[in-house]
Amino acid sequence: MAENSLNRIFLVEDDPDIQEIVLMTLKDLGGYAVDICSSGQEALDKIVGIQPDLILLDVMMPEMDGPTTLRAIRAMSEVKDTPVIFMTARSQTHEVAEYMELGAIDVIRKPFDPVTLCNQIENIWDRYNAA
Amino acid sequence: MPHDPPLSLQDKVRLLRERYANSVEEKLIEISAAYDRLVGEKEGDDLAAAIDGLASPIHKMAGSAPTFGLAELGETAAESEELLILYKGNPDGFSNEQVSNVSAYGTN
Repeated sequence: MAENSLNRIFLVEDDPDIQEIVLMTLKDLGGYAVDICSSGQEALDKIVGIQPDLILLDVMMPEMDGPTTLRAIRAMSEVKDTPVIFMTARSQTHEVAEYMELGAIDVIRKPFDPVTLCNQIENIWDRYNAA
Repeated sequence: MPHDPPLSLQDKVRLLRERYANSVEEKLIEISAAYDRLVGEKEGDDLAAAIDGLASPIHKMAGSAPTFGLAELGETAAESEELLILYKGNPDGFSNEQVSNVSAYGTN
């Protein structure tokens, strides 16, 4: 059964420009607590301490990409059930199917509209909790 | 002493877009330098690493530029990224003209 309270979001994204605009949107518009890291390995190092309600995970990152990071998270007992939304420009049908197969709850396509990003996330969250 | 009123989200987004636009030249210089490294490695052993070194900033631009209101730049970067993916899969199957197109995207 999914939890229904979305307070803390963990953004894993290597592009500082995207980090900044997502942070601003999620904090100012959504009122969420937001933690950010720049790599998959850093995410694995920090996630247990953060215990986020939701992870926004970039797909294309150097050294450890998003899918590899998600597989590693799913193998960590403390956080294995944390819902993950991929954020990516790689969003052809077969790619989205692959991300969902890995256990993502949805995909947000880049580019995204900063003003509507929170609505996108909240709609995904509501669907996830209703499932 | 009076305080400035807080900025609206739209104003903050506008400021971030302006700042991003001002950083584009620097990003293109980075892409151009990575392209030069790729050209230098065209016959070398580190070709894949050189391709990745160019693909990384182009990929970021493809994702970020449209988010900051620069749709055309983002589309151009995305096309360049696709070319690089094809090139990485088959470097010998590309003409010099096709390779130079990647650089041309960054300078147009």
